[in-house]
Amino acid sequence: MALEYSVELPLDRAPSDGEAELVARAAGGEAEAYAALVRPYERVAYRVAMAITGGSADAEEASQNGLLKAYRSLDRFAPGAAFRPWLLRIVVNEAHNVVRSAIRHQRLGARASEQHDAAIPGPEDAVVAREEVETILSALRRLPEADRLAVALRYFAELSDSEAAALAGTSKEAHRVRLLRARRRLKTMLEEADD
Amino acid sequence: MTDHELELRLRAVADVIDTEAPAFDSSVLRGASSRRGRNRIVALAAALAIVGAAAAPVAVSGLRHLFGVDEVKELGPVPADVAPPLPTFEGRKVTLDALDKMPFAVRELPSPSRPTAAYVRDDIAGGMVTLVYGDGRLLTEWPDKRVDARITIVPTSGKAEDVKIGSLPALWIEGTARGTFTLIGADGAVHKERFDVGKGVLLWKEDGIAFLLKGATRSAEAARIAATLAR
Repeated sequence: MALEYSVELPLDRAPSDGEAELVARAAGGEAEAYAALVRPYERVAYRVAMAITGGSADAEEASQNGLLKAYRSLDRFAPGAAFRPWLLRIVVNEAHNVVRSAIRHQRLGARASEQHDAAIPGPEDAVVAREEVETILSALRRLPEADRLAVALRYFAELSDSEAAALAGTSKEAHRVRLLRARRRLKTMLEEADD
Repeated sequence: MTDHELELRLRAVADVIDTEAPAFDSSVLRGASSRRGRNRIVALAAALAIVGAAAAPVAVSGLRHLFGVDEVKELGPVPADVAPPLPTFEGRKVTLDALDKMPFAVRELPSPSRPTAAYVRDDIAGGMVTLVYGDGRLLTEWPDKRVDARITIVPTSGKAEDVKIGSLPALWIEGTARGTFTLIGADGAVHKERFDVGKGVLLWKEDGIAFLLKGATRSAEAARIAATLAR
């Protein structure tokens, strides 16, 4: 028997030498280097996409497309800059594109089925966890786009206020105001849902 | 609902979503080279396809509350960038009194005696402590706002299963195993270290601290020991 697992401790934002090397190799066309470069960010990309799109199919499309577009855009990545916020900016744009596209509407029926299927099988805890996910995502979907993005960047992408503000194209103060407003709205919605 | 409760719910949902996140399908790169590397990607395509096939996950039953679990048919060689194992994660040996100076509250097992040795890793962001007990148990703990473990199981034998420590979800892994810790150094550099799971490992987190317990032979025993740390 053989098991392999890794535990990733919280990453500092500054790019490491190893990451910078991977960026350079990937920009030079080494696909393996790019796969290694983005692997630590697959989950956060999907998380953010899920928060913005609200559905797993849309989130997968947005995150996968975002990672692919980032690969195609590596020549525009500034050497020495933090890779994670740069990558997430692309994923966020892709997520917004998915939300705005007609494709999303075509998938509504499929999503309803997907949610139904996910809630039936599995252990009790899994069902409870899935219900909580749907409750949170449903509340997020009802937030204004800017507020939803603020929450996604803070709690799903775990960016600092400065990074989130830069990614959202706003000031740090404005980002904080949005976050405060979004939290207030979310709490109200979730308290109503809990009753 | 307080802000803290809202934050906990959002982070918990993020954890659940993590378990569903698909791996990046790197096979698409074969047809989408970066602008600077169009010529080189063709030569890499075949090799990448092999890597992708070996790492392709298949479905694993059950929700992993804390850790994503992938099951593969074959485990590849230890990557070249993984350092040799550190049996006890030891770093600088310290006195038990020195644990009070750690940047987080170190918890000890309420066993009949205190740890026989304590080690502190200063080279890891946030610090890491390993306590060694006379009966062979090791407790490693570190501050971790997120434990993001990826587990690959080769289904020839052994297992990884969800267990409960009271109401806390945890993951029990047992059997001969090879683990890799991806660590962020205090200098910001990423490095990886290999270690052996041995008899079994229990992983969980509570109040922003991640724990790894080694030395229990069964999951129930590990969970019982872990429960003594609960606050």
